[in-house]
Amino acid sequence: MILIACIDENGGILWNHRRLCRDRLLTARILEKARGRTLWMRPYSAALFPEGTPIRLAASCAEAPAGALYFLEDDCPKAAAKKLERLVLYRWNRRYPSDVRLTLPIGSYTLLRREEFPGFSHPILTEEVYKP
Amino acid sequence: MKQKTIRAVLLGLFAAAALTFAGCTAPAPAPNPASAASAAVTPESAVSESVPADPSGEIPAYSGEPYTAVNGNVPDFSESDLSSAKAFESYSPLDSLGRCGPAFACVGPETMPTEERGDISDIQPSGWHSVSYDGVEGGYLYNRCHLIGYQLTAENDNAENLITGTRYLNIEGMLPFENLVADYVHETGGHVLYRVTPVFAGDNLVASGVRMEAESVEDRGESVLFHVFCYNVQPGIQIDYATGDSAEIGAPASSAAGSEADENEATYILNTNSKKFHRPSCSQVGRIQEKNKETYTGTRAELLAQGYTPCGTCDP
Repeated sequence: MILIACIDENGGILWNHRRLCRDRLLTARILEKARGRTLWMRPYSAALFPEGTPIRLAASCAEAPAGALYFLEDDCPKAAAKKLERLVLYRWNRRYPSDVRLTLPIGSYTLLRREEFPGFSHPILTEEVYKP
Repeated sequence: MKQKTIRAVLLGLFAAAALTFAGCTAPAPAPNPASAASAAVTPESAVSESVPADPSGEIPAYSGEPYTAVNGNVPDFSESDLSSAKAFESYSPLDSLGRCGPAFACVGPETMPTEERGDISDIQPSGWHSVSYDGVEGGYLYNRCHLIGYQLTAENDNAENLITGTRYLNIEGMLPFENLVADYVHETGGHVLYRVTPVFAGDNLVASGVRMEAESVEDRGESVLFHVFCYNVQPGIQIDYATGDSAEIGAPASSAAGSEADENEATYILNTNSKKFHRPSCSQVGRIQEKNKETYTGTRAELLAQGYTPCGTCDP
């Protein structure tokens, strides 16, 4: 499973059951990277992507099979984290409130790549790819 | 800025009129506990890292987090408040003690700044002291805290929009919520109904904290919805809310509090390189390189035994 997640400076993902923010250029980048492959996600996340995006709905990333791309907008259960093959992490480089944070042990993962790029409503976004 | 001031006054009058009208036609909104607290709280002073007690019981005592959700994280806006996406700003006149009241706005692209932020150093909000401490990020304990942040309504030296707030309130408490609203407006061009109410206990000159409410208008809160209380505290510093006087928490008190905290399990962020540990909400956490960052759940005593030292900013 390849997880794609967006976090703020505190590792936050959600506040009051809502995503912290969105950025249309980031969404476009995720689709570009997916290259037409199916994106797995919770129903809440589907509205973020344009009509026609190949999406497979799931209750949690625990349902995603090996090799699947999963767009994560909640925390990853510990059991599911064992299936993690790659983590594609986007950083908002902003501080938002959060009550759901990513608890994956990123510090123990190997950083394979980091790239900064401009967003639409964020001056600089950061993309990082990790191998557990 | 003159035009802006006139516009703000007119819009404020419009908003006040709209609120009055709403009170006649819409079902009575739930009482605002912040207002009740302002009127009923017995003054307290010489407190440490805690704010004067909230007699309504709605706002829990400060427990190490910069903000807490109240009212189920649902704002107290009325149907009438949410009926229009027309931008406005409304600021309350200062009371007889020179204290701010609620600031209310419908934030949208129209209200956001188009020029660099101006100087606000001439304003002295109630309880203002210019005082610095080594352990406070940026040095100064107090900031002139915008009730409605500059990034949302471009207000500079508006005395009705500035309170004496700790650095911690400003950066760890309020700023994240302002960022959330600002970025939503930038991304969507939509509007957010936004109200910030300073909560003063009795005649205290320094607010115990601020109540922040927000709801995205066009999608009726689907994207932005919150109702929180942000604590006007500063870790490691005692504040006398009656006057704004302050002092570093003394060694005996600190060690007594520390020994209790040492026994309690909590989550910390570790910098394995510098051997510092932080609260998860600490502003320094974002600066730790990922390879040196670890999340740790356990007791403070265990971390101290492992050679870690507490961060000077968040004082975990």
